[in-house]
Amino acid sequence: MRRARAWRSGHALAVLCGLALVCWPAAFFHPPPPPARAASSPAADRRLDVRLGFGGIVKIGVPLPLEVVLPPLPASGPAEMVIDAPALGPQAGQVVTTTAVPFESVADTVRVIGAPVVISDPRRPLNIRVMVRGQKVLGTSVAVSPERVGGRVVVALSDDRTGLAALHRLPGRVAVAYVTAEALPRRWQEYAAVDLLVIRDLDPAALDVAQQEALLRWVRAGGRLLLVVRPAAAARSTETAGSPGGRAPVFPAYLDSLLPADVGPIRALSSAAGLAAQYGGTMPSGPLTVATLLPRAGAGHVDLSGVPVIASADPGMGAGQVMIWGFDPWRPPLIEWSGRLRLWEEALGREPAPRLDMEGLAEHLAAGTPLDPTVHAQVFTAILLYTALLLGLRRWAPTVAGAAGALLIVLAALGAFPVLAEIVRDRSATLAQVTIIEPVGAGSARATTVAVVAVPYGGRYRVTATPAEMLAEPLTPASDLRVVLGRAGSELTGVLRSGDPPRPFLAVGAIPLSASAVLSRDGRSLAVDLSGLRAGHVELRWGDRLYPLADLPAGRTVRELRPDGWTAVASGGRSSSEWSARVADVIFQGSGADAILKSATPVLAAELDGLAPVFTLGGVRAPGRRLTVLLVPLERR
Amino acid sequence: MANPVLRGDLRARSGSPKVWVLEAIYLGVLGALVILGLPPELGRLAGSHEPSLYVAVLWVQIVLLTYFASACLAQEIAVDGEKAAVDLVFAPFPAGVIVGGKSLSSLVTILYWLLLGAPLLVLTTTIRQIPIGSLLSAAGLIAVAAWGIAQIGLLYSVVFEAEFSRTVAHWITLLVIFAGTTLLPSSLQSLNPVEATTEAAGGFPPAIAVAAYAGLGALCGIWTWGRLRRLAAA
Repeated sequence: MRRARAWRSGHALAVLCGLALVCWPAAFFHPPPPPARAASSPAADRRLDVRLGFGGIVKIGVPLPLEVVLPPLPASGPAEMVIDAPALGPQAGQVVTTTAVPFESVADTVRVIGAPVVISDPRRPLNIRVMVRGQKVLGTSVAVSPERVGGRVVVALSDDRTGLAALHRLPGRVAVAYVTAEALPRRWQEYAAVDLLVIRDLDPAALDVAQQEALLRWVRAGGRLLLVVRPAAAARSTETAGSPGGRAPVFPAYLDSLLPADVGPIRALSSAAGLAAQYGGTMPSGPLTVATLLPRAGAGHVDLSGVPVIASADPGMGAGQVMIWGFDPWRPPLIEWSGRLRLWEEALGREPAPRLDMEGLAEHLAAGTPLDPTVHAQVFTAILLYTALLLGLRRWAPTVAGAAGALLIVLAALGAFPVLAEIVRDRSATLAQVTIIEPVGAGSARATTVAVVAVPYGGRYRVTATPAEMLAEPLTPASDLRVVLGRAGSELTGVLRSGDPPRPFLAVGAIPLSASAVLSRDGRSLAVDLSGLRAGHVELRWGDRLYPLADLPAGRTVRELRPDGWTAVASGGRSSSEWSARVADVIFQGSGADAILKSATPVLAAELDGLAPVFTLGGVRAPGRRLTVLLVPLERR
Repeated sequence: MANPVLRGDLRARSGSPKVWVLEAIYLGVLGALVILGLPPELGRLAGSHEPSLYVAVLWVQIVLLTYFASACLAQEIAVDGEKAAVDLVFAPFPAGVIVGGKSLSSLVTILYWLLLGAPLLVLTTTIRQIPIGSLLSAAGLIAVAAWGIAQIGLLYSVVFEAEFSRTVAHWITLLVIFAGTTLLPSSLQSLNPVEATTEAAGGFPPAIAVAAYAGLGALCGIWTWGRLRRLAAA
């Protein structure tokens, strides 16, 4: 009976399996895998597309734009792009600065990640890797070819990617990069490599808002911009505007505030020989079509046959320069003109001297980071207490039991002294920083912060640079340094060994601040507008002369100046602290001081209160020392 | 504590005002060094082979402990209530008990003093993030070297009857050990206690120094034992 039931069950199972085999093969055989998705696509499709510098042209030691196009990544989650940039340092081949850009990876999505990168050692490649959830998923190396390294860099935004090859004959190892609009940086600090930006063809819509702001800020802060009017394009614009002789929108509207001239009607000149007379060389015969420039107030201009064809002006309080050429140097006869190099040399300008002696400042900041005196007091008290307790007990109970009891005090001290040691370590780590603020006009100021972190007994440090617009980097090559570029700011972490000198950092950025100082023509009246800021230890500096002023309140202040109030710098007693006076002396007497003091105009120098520190050192109990110096070039009216 | 000599010595040393003064000097010198060595060594290059300031504390520690321990055994510093080894010959103790008791009381005293100084050393090494292993290594070497050299004092206490000649011999021995060994070839310079401490502070105590001072201590102990037996037989 039981055997029959088992046979029936087995038979039914076999029938069911047979039916299933006939009707639904898929139940037993898995379907073939779907076509491979991006995550398992060939490696060739998952390479990183890296754009470094300007069309591949780089300059050593300054921030460069780096843009990496990430292919679809295999997984979603927290990710980061890590760039290892080698630097020249005392340990050959070992100094690498790591920059990390965190982002949220979304699987199967193409992303573009940008980060500024400083190349200090072009002999070794830049290593880039992409990590998702801590796992490396992609990586590549980018070698820098020696011929792509420029001493001075001209970036040309032009459809015609020839015509400037001769510029390499100019002094200073000039390299020319032809780029498209999307290659222009979104951080103004990444223009640091650019000595001259030439815009010949620019679709107004080609630059996004970040690129436009970066361009404007760079020019105001000291960049050199050359705008080339292509007469044919200008003529088309004028016709479109329907107002011959009127102002034609040749350039995008966001550049309008920078322009030294408006573009007028197109003129055909019989000869361009006038340019050869001014700049030398032999000008081929033939007519030259030019756009008449209508210089704005304060702009300089060069005329050709009575027509202004070159205009230039300083668009703000910074050292920036904007030039407009009303002719196209890419076209004959100018392209064949043997003297055009002098014209380009003038446009390129002299190599600017550094305005500030960063290394000198860092050295003086480092000298001003003494060990907290309360640390000495704490340690002295603890040792005194320990010794007194031990000896007191031994004196009070001069027995074996007393000696054993003293070991309890030893045990307690062994628990407490490491805590005291950590307090000493924390209090000894210090951060000193000086920020130099230079208004550049349009309610903006260039902020340069030099900071040094001292960890006298050695150990890890974590420095945060805020806001995110401040681009922070090490001032000297440093191993074991990692820079994380976050939304709120940059975080720099590293390790200093005991005895290592303090680590210097530099942050450059722009802050919203407007300040102006106007000196009357006769030099007897000074009008200062500090907006909402209050300034202390204000003084005027002009070469080696100094005019001390008292503290200035917020808002507008007018002061009468006495002609005998100017004193020699050495005898101008400062009332500020010794440390800040020493730091200020580096600013005004360091190797870069000539650029500040020997310029055409005097400067107003003051110490500012109330501005938030750029750098903060994590985990320390001592606040560190801080100085904010305002430098305003005096206008003469 | 089955050894009556050890028990008696420890009791005497616990209650001795002289030992209290020695401890006060020892802790005072170490504490002063720790405070004076507190400022960071900014002038010292990272990774340099120059010894750090905390090693100087160890140097002072080995010198003080060695002198105090050997001087106590050599009766140069007479601890109140502590009997010399020679005097104990006439007590009903075998020579082995006397030598064992004296040697152990010296070792216990050295270890006790090391423990008293340990918090100060931990403070200075933790500030400089020096691994605790280096400290233990140095402490071990100091204990062995100080005990080995102190055993010479024990030997002298039974070899030299006159106090003056014993003191002179003790000082000459210390000078030879601390100064004379610096003239040895470089391969043997680890025999210098200060050099050995420096090496031990680097992580590992030099085996030659540990073996030499442990052997020296044992040899002096055996010699003293033999001498005491002969004295007892006479």
